[in-house]
Amino acid sequence: MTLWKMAWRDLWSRALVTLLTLTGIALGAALISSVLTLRRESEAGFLRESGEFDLVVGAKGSPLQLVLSSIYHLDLPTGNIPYSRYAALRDDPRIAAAIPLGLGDNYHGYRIVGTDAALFRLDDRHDARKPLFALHEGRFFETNFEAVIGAQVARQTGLKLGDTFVGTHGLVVTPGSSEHRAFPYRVVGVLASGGGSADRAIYTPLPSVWLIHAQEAEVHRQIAGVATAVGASAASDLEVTAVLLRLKAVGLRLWLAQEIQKRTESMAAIPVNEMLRLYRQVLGPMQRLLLAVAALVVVVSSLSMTATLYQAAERRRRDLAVLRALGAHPREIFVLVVLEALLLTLLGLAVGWLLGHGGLALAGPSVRDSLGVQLAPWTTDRLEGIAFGAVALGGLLAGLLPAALSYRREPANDLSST
Amino acid sequence: MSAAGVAAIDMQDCRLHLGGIGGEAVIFELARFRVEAGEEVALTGPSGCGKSTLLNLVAGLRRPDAGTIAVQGVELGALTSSQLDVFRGRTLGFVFQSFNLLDGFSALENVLIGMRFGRACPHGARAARAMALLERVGLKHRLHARPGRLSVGERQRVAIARAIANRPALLLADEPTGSLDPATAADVFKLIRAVCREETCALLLVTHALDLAAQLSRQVDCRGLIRSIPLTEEHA
Repeated sequence: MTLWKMAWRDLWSRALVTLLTLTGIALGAALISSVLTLRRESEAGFLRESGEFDLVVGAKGSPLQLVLSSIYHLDLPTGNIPYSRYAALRDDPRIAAAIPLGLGDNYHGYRIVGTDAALFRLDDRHDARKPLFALHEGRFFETNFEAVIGAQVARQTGLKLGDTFVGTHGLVVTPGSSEHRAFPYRVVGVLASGGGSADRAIYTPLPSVWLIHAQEAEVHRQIAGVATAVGASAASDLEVTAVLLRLKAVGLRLWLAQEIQKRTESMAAIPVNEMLRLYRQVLGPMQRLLLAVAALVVVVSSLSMTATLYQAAERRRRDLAVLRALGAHPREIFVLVVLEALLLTLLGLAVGWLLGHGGLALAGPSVRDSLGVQLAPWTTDRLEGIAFGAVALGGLLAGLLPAALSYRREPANDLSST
Repeated sequence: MSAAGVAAIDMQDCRLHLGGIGGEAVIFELARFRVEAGEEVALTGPSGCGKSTLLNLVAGLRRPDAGTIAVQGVELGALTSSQLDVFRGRTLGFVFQSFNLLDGFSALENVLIGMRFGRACPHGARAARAMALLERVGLKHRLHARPGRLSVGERQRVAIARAIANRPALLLADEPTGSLDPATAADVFKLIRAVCREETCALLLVTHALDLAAQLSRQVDCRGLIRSIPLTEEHA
């Protein structure tokens, strides 16, 4: 009979104790997996979107506010800048893509973002094979008052392809806000859920936003003449809330930001820098707290598992003494004990990993909706590997300790005498 | 050295401090005890006189504080703990009063595990010998039953099969019939003697049953062999 078979059979023979020990290890491992994954994913999710654009240009004010309002659809915009500023940026040879944004209205709290169809042609910087925006169904907008809605908007408001809705003035829901009843939007596309800010946005052509706010009265009178009216407007009258920029060379970022800052009335913010600053100042301590909790979980789980394995091994003192009485070499006893501890620990860790990550996969949609974080629940990072390694080592030591102690006693003391 | 002419057991001037038997510490002392190869010896005496301690000393399950113990000519004190464990597996068979079977394994597996660590039998021949031994002790139909499902007598039979599986030169039996009813006890006693003869091994058997002891070639009363001295303040 091989030692492997003996170890396996012995675990089976104490099925209840094995199951309880396994459950303890698995729950500890699940807790470790979920806490570490949540920490990693929230950090990655928070910073991910800030890397999609090199610069954000808007009215002077708080750079962080500008980034939060234009990329994350949070906070209020710093103001508007002339359309001509956007046009200049669009034509700048150093700029690969300039995407204008026009804000002003919301639907059930979800911001209506006037923009250019070029936004939908951008690729995902984290995976160049994928577009930044992917459709779940329908198509991207082509004409005014067509709307492409985010996945969360579709889920929460019930809007679907072909539905129409009207925007409410302002960026947040305020009682008594006026609805732009004369300008209904029609849903032509629903974005695939990406877990980012796009899930919470409603995209429409920028002229739609201009039309509603600049020429509402006129359009009321003659809706058919709108396009002409807007087209006829002088470019100097038009404004955008912000412009998102992708540069041809990322190295130009700081230089261009300073240039915009100095030479124009606008402000340029570097999203990554702003978000990192926010992260370090505000969310960093929270993340460190979460890491401390994760470390505590690892320690407590390891100790609990060590205690469980130690108790299980203690109950085997008589068996180990019997094996010694039968002539087992210390090396064989050590291998047997290590195999049992390893089997239990690795099985427990595997079940725990599945439980932890499976739980996150199940909780993914609600986490995405409530926290705006798209979890990648099945990925494991180095930290989790280290934590699991520490737990496995604890299990190994817990199994070895009783075996080592048994060699400090004479077998007669552990054998049943009655 | 050949086993012929070498004593199965040779103990001299053994002394051992035993803590707390019945709550009282005692000194175990033995001047000389010898069992010849192939001899059958019964060790009798009242409870607490040191019979089981003597067996544990011979088996190397306990080491004396002083004195020498040689089994099959090998001085146990010269062996390290691990060497002693291996020597025990190859040279001795031990039948415990409480069987000390491994609860998670079947009767057959208990014997096989004993053979695995004893290493006296080639790997390929172990299963056949284990089954033959269990058949010999009347458990052919209980090969795959675990100890918990065996009667007390059946468990003792498994323990006997395991003890002789490695063809030991010496079989130690610590009150092997102590927890059995008289009929089963007589049966198990006969079985132990029979297998010892078949395997040509010496037998040292501890028993309270004087009628059974009388059937062996030599009887030793531990009261004349071992001095169990309470550790009084004077001794301390």
